[in-house]
Amino acid sequence: MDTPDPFPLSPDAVRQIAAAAGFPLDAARSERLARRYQRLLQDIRELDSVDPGDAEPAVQFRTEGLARE
Amino acid sequence: MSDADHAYLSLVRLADMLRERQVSPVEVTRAALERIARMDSRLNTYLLVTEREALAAARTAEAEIRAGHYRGPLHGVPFALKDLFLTAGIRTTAGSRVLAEHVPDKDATVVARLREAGAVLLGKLNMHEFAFGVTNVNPHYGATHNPWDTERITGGSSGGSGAALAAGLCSFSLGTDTGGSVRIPAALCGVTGLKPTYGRVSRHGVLPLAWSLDHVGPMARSALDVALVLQAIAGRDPRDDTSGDAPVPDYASAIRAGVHGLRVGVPWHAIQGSVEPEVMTSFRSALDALVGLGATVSEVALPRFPLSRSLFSSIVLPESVSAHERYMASRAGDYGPDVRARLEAGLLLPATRYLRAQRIRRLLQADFRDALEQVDVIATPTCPIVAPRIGEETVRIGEREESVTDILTLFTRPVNLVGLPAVSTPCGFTTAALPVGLQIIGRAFDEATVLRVAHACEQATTWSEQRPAE
Repeated sequence: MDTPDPFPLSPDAVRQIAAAAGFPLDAARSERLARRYQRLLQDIRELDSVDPGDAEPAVQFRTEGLARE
Repeated sequence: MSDADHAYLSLVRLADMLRERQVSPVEVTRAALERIARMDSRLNTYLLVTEREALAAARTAEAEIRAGHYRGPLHGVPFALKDLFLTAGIRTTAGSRVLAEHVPDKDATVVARLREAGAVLLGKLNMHEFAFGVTNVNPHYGATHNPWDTERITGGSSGGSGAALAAGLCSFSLGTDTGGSVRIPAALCGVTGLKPTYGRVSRHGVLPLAWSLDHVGPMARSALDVALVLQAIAGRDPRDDTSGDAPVPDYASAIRAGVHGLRVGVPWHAIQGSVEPEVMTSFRSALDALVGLGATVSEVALPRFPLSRSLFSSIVLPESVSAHERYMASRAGDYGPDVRARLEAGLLLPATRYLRAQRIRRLLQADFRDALEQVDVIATPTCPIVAPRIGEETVRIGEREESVTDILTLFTRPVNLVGLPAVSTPCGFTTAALPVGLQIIGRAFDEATVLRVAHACEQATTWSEQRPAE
């Protein structure tokens, strides 16, 4: 099992990403979110080894409406 | 007939009595309002009781029925809505302080359809904040309490609906289901709840959580009652591009056909080792009941089922933070801590991860499609556990410690990912008198078959007739 990167995104990077999206975060919150993001990547990393092949995204929403237009 | 007998009348029976004028909509509505006033302080199911509007609607229904203008089985029937559905002129909070003063100027399509059917809105129901959680422990309006044990959660996010039905505080309700939010409270509160096929019921005017996972679904105390509500709300809505054109059958007739010869598939590989023993006992009893009615049960494989949790997180988090952009930018401090933390996590996931999950989601859909070519429906327990205590964040399954949220959604969230119809119906009680739910999953737009199975189970057992102590 690989050892996870202790901070896939640094707290400062988290703060900058959030600010760019219009969500200001203070330093403590940025650090908590950086840790949470690390856990999230761990949780979903089983998807990294799945080959989706030729599958297109299963974006069910809006497709029918777009086709109608 | 006692107050409780009245409160627990089936929608079908109540409709007959209203049509025959054995009881009037005003009498029924007054009785429901009095019962809410007497009982809801210990359950906290209603965020808002619309007494004045309810009595006005009941008087209108009464005059119409008296004049011979009977609209159908929902005419004059009192119901309540999860507070996620827009209601014209009536506060809609989504269970959040962010929308504490929000009064929409229009009805959601499904609300308009219920009004058209003559149903009487009693009020708006408590829920997990913004539908983003499954405990219904709401930091702003208080936890909803399970009528079977008020120290336990109702499940969520449509927990107000589940508890109000179990306590006889409305005749039916509408919930929403993004990862199990209709089926989980139905299971934990001992009532029946349907997540229809994605596209079967309009979502227009329902505050979104995650567009590609959100569904609107009816909840009631029996499959037949759910069928009558579905009949009123199903079908194409030009204001919701995702709603489909598939014909809407006569559900109440279709579900009475029995299950003789029906093929039921069970993904044992996903179930074994993940379910509390007493839940497993009830689940096996339900399968035995179906076999006794002439169905066959066999194993089906869903190889990509274990990916569901990762897929769900990768999709729900980015979609939900996008849906909340405008509020999070200006009102982040008004969110409860659990919902805010989930939303912020979605902010960081790269688009490539979101789209990769949407592509792998196709593989899970293929698994379900393949399985449903071998069988007519798939059965699982709705939840691996019964209602946890309020405030409990983890539970033990065998040797493993599991998060309450993860374990409650284990069997429900895959069905949101594949968009298929699924119902939860009562299938037993534990020795602690807590209800257990059976989930039946069907083919796309075949709600009639999943409701048929639920109806057959309900007819063969008495689980759906049990009531909590008052």
